[in-house]
Amino acid sequence: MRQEVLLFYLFATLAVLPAVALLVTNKVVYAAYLLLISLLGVAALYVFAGADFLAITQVMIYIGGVIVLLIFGIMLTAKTKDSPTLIVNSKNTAIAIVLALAVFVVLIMAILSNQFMDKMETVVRKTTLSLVGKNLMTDYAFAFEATGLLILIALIGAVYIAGRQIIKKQQ
Amino acid sequence: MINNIPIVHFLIVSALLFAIGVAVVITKRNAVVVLMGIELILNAANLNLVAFSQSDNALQGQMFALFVIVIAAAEAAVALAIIVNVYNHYKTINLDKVNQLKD
Amino acid sequence: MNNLIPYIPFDSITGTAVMILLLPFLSFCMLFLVSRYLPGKGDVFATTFVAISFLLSVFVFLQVWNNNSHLSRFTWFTIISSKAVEHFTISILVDNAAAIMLVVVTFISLLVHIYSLAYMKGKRNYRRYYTYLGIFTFAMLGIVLSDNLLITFMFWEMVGFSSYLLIGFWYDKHEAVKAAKKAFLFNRIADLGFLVGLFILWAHLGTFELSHIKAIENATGLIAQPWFTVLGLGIFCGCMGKSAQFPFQVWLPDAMEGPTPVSALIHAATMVAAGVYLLAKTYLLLNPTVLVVIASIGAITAIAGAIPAMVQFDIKKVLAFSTISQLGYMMIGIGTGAWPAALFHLTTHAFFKAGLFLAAGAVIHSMHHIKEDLFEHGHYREFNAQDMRMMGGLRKRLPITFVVYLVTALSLIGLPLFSGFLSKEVILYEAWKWAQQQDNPLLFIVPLSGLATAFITAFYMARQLILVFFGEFRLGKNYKHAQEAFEHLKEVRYEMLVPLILLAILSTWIVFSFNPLGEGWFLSTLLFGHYSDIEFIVVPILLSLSGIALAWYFFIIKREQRLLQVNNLFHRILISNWYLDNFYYRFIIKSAFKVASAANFMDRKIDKVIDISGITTVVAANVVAWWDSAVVDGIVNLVVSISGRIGKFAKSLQSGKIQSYFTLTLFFVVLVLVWIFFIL
Repeated sequence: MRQEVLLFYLFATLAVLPAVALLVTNKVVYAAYLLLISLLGVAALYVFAGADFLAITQVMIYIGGVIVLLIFGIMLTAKTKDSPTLIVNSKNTAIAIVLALAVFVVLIMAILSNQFMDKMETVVRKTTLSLVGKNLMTDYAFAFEATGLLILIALIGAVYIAGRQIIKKQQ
Repeated sequence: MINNIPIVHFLIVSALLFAIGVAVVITKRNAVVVLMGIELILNAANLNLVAFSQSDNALQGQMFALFVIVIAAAEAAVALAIIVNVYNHYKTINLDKVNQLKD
Repeated sequence: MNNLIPYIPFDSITGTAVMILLLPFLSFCMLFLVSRYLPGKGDVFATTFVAISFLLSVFVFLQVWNNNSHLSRFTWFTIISSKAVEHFTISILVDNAAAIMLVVVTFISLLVHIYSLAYMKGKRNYRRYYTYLGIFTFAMLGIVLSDNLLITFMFWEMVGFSSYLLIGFWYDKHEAVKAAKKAFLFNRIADLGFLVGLFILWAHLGTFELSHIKAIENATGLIAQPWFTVLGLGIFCGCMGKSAQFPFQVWLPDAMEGPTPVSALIHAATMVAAGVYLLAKTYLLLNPTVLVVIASIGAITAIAGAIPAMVQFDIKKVLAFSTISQLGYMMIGIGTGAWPAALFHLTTHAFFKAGLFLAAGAVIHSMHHIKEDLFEHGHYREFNAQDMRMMGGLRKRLPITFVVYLVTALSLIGLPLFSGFLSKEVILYEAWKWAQQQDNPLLFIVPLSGLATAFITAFYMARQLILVFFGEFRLGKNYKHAQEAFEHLKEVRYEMLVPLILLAILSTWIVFSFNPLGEGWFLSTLLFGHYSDIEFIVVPILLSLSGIALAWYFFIIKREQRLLQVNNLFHRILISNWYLDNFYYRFIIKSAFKVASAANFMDRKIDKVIDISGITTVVAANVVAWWDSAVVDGIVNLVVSISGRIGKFAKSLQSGKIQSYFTLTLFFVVLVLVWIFFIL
């Protein structure tokens, strides 16, 4: 096989295997880090698909923001009345396996039933950055602004929801 | 590049990630871990989008994926705020115990 | 049966009669319900009601006497069959006889009510007394007014029942209870005869109403011969029980256990006279054979009642036997065809016998005073207050009572200047004339026994007068303290005196006829011819006077003390009323008890059989119950639990767990996808 494909398989494994491990583990902190690695793998796969800007964005936002947020969340909700949540048991494994397998099978069959071309006409660019920027300002300007508004609302909302408890404590 | 990865591979990886994400959501009891599963699902979808935008001149798929990332991050933030609130109220984030929605 | 008018409206007289009837009933109802709350426990209340009844009766009497009789009729129920429409009617007849009876009954009832205000005061159960008097008066008036023999029968039974209540008034006294039972039972047995008569009447004529029978042409001819005699005998049998004829007379002496005013009302004036009244009303249903039977039994009763009175020691028992004997007289009157004379004697007897009883009550009341006096001074000695051997010389202390007693006793004996003379004379005369007209010379027994009874009556009444009122107070002779108590005796209260005086006045001749020897207004209305055989008037007078003389001789002149004890067999037979009680006991009651115990034995056996079947049923029921609970219920429970589990499962879909919702949703999404991709 060609090198690209091998590398692809490597990074694919890097994306999938931590996910499987995330499924299996019962330690929450491990889960967080495994997610981190998985997202990293996905970012690598983005590069393979020619989306360089997106890959960097993924790394920055997801790993820099979301994972950190998740870890903070874990820290804040660590102590509970019963067992500490750092150890998580799973349940419903049978149903889960069945269902997940069912979903996977359905999707695979849907995919494989289509004849995709082995080689398709991909567009070669040096980088997607300028195109993304241009799109953001022209075609997707509304979505851009709306997303900004959404982030503002989410920010306010999150502060409010999480801040209520502080106000209560101060009372 | 002329020799690129056949798209099927992307799609299979995406399907795999999606299934695993579903399994995580159904199985885990801790709300934060469920959130992680949701992130996995979103990422699977993103991968799909990006894979198909390889042949696109206008990069629609990538734009879509960009917005998805942003919104996923916002959603994760709000979700965690809610989870913290739930934790403060019920003193647990075991999803089995937080079942006040039942009839 | 076809010319029966189903409705004759009530006019003023019959309407008044119904009011007279209902007033005592109203008094009964009110006393029964609320006598607790009335002042004096309702005694004056009841008395007022009876007084109103009496005034209305006088009004009715004045309207009806010697005028038309008033009849009204109404339909009780109607039987509609395919053949005909039959009405069962009830009628009320107010004619001469009914009018006079109304006056007599209400008057004597009123006097007894007034008398009882003093006599029964303070005794126990005072409240019930006037209630019972009310219902008795009501029932008696019902007999008087009713023209329908079935209704008469109902009232007849009610009278018997009220007399049971009144005789047994002091229910904790054992003898009173027995006497009440005896009275009621003898009445009841005699009423069987009455019922048989009624049945025959209905079967042959289809109606119970006397007014209707009179309206039918030759009604008595419609009844075939043996039955007609049985009919008459049946009605007479009922009267034998009520009017204490031989051999049913045994209940009357025992009925003296009741209070004395009750004896005056029931056993002198009204209830016992109901039989005579009924016979007078149904006279057309009695054929000559029955009349001969009536006269004969009346004759026997007259003698058989008079003789034991000669040796009794209890004041009231003498009067009771005297009543039996006088009722025999009345039956003689009916049997010989002179039913107006019988009614006349009934009226005069009511007044003087009631007077005698009430005066005897006054004497007994005074003897009770002596008892209380002795008790207060600590010298109590038990004695029977009604025993004449303890009395004597009471005329000095109870003068008015003595005069009343004297007047009424002389009226009973039948001396001229008194009412009893008038009525007795007619009966004896008619009896003699009747016996002369009969074929059978044996029937002369009837008037002869009447004459003999007159003699004996004179003797025992004189004996009683002497023993009670003359001589010295015998109790005081034996017991010094009693003599002192005797000196403190006073005349009785006015509530007791006024009735006494009224009754004494009514026992004199003036009320009934201006001529002390003639027949008076009573009889000239009801009766047919005059009687004027001088020699016949004289004989009874001579007999009575000789009876009095004999008694005087024995008791005053010879001071025959021996006659105050029971020493030989003759005495014993008489005192025990010809041993009739023992006869009944030995031959009838004992065998009845044997039958009863045999029936009881059989009954126990039957009970055992029923018990066994009962137990079997219970066992079977238990088996079925087990089956029911184990099997049938088990199936039901199974179904229920299956439904329950299905329900629980369905409920668990709504667990409130987010992951379950997600799982479910995903499951269905997969299904939809499968469907889209592979089937479409």
